[in-house]
Amino acid sequence: MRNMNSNSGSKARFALGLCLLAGASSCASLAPARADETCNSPFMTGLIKGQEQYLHVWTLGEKGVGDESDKLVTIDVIPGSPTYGKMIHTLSVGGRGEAHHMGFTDDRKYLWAGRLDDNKIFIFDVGSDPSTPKLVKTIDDLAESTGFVGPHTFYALPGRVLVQALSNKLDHGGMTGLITYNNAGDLVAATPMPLDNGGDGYGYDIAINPGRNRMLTSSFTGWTNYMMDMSQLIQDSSAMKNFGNTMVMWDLKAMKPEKVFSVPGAPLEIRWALKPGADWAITAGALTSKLYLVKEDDKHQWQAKAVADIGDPSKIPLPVDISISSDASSLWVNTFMDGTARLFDLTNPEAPKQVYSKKIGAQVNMVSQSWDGKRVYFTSSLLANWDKKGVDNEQFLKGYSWDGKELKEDFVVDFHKEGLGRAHHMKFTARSQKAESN
Amino acid sequence: MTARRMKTKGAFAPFAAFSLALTLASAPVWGAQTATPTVSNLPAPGTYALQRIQRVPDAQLLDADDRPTALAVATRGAITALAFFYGHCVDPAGCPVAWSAFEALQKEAASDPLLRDRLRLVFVSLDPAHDTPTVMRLLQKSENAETLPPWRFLTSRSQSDLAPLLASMGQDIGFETDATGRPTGVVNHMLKVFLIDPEGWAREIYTTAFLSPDNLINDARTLAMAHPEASNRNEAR
Repeated sequence: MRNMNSNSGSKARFALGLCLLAGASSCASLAPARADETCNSPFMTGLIKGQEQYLHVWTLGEKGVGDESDKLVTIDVIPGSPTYGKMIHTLSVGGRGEAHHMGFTDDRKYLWAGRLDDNKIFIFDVGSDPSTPKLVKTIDDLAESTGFVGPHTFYALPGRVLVQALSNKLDHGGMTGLITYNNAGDLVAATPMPLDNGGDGYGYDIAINPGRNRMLTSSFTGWTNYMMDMSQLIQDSSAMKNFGNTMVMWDLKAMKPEKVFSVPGAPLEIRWALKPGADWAITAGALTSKLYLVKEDDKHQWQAKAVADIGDPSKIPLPVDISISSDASSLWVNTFMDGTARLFDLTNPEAPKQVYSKKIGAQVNMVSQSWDGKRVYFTSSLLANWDKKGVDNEQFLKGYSWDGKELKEDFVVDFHKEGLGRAHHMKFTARSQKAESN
Repeated sequence: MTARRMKTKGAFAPFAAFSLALTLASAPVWGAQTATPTVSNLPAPGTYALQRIQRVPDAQLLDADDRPTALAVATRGAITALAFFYGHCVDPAGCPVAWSAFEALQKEAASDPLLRDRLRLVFVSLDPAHDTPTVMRLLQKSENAETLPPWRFLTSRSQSDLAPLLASMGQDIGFETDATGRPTGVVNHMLKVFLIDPEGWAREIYTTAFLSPDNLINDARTLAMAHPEASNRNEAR
């Protein structure tokens, strides 16, 4: 095919020039974001490069805590606000269904949030007034309509939301698939994870590089394992075999698997480097405690390889969420078991080096950083049955400032004292579009 | 990640700059650069299927001759690329990207037997107050020739007439105001282009990160292969 990217817009400019001569005023559309706050879909608009104003926490209801229901908790993170660092709104959705992850639609007006146990997907309006999200729709037929269960990752495509499921309704194992909904919540397609050419059928996260028409997926485990008590799970040698060991490179346009990589030990969150020209992605293997790099080799073949240990793998620190800096120079890696945030220097992605660490709490799972990397937020819950017990079951949101050398705690929201539950996934919003896209 | 925008110099910059000098003292730099995304590794046309994303709703609009027309008249029966725009948008990451992509698509399709008689282009204005049928007629005249697939320019009587269509298509907009609350003329919107099959299904949606001319024409060819009956010769009635 001929390359058609040469600008042939002279006639258009002539036409628009006529309009200008006719007296029309200046204009600008919202500049679409090439990436969100370092981890979201590049198809999404409204990138917050400045100060985020609200932080939404998808929170698991916990028995004996508040109303015991799963809920969307909104925290004011506007510096100087009288309610800075405090919960300003909660929206309970009823029941406990293993609330887990969230994702925006392409216009950032709606936030989709899933539950891994009862498979419900809640769609919140966060565009009308982000300080007070409203539930506008619930999708409750995922299992019946697709055969897949455990809606995990929500990833914006233009006009659609791509959902990575974790399991299936037949055997509750790890074989699963991808589900495409349109923005109205209507089912568009269901795509099974590959079982051939080395594929194990498992799924976990989604990350897209639109300029290369490539999508990466990773792999975790099925319902039987993620709903099992962790202490029971790790003593069950048979169950411990049921974890994903692959990543898949897809042709995004065709939604067809291109290549399956062997990535042992449940590779979880995937982050493409956002720096122009840096066509590589990184992930962390939960059970192997390693960082894996996905990059083209000298023959332009995509490969995945281990590039660094995370802590001491023999102690199984259990790396969980990761957050890459917008210039792809560093990566936050949380290790759940020791409650520690670790910063890796990614200047050479072939050889990441840990350059900083700080204990955040008795347990820590999710991490989200602002676009400029100056603010870093942490939450505590992994899964209801995998969280620690007793006094170690700390449940919090903690906000920190990062000056390049040290994390300085700015605020803490104790989710138990506030009667909220288990704090899991975080997303940012801002009230004005102008503030969002500066 | 690979740079997804190839900056290209606007061919009509001198005229545009002159226009601006005449009309606006504080306007954005017109025509300086247009952000054109690139998408590589696309599959060959016809080797993949495009999803049926959503039905395109019908709407009562105005054509370039100030006649009421249903949107379906301009979309059904053909392979249609549709974008929402407004005539005085100059954001290099906004409407000009769609203009550039549509011009490239139109030019490529003109010499492609698969698309020449099957493809139709449609622009629908987001700003009926400024984009009158008279303006639409000027634009339509400038973008059409016997040798090219047709490019229709549609507007509406009012913003309220247009609103249901925008809501159904997920095309969120906002009119910017200055400190005194007066409209600045800027229509904030997320650039979206819709590729529609002859039966009225949106089969692909492109935002800036995915709106490369190669990507658009690849998909148009794929749809044309699946719909040999498509025709741009007669608009549906």
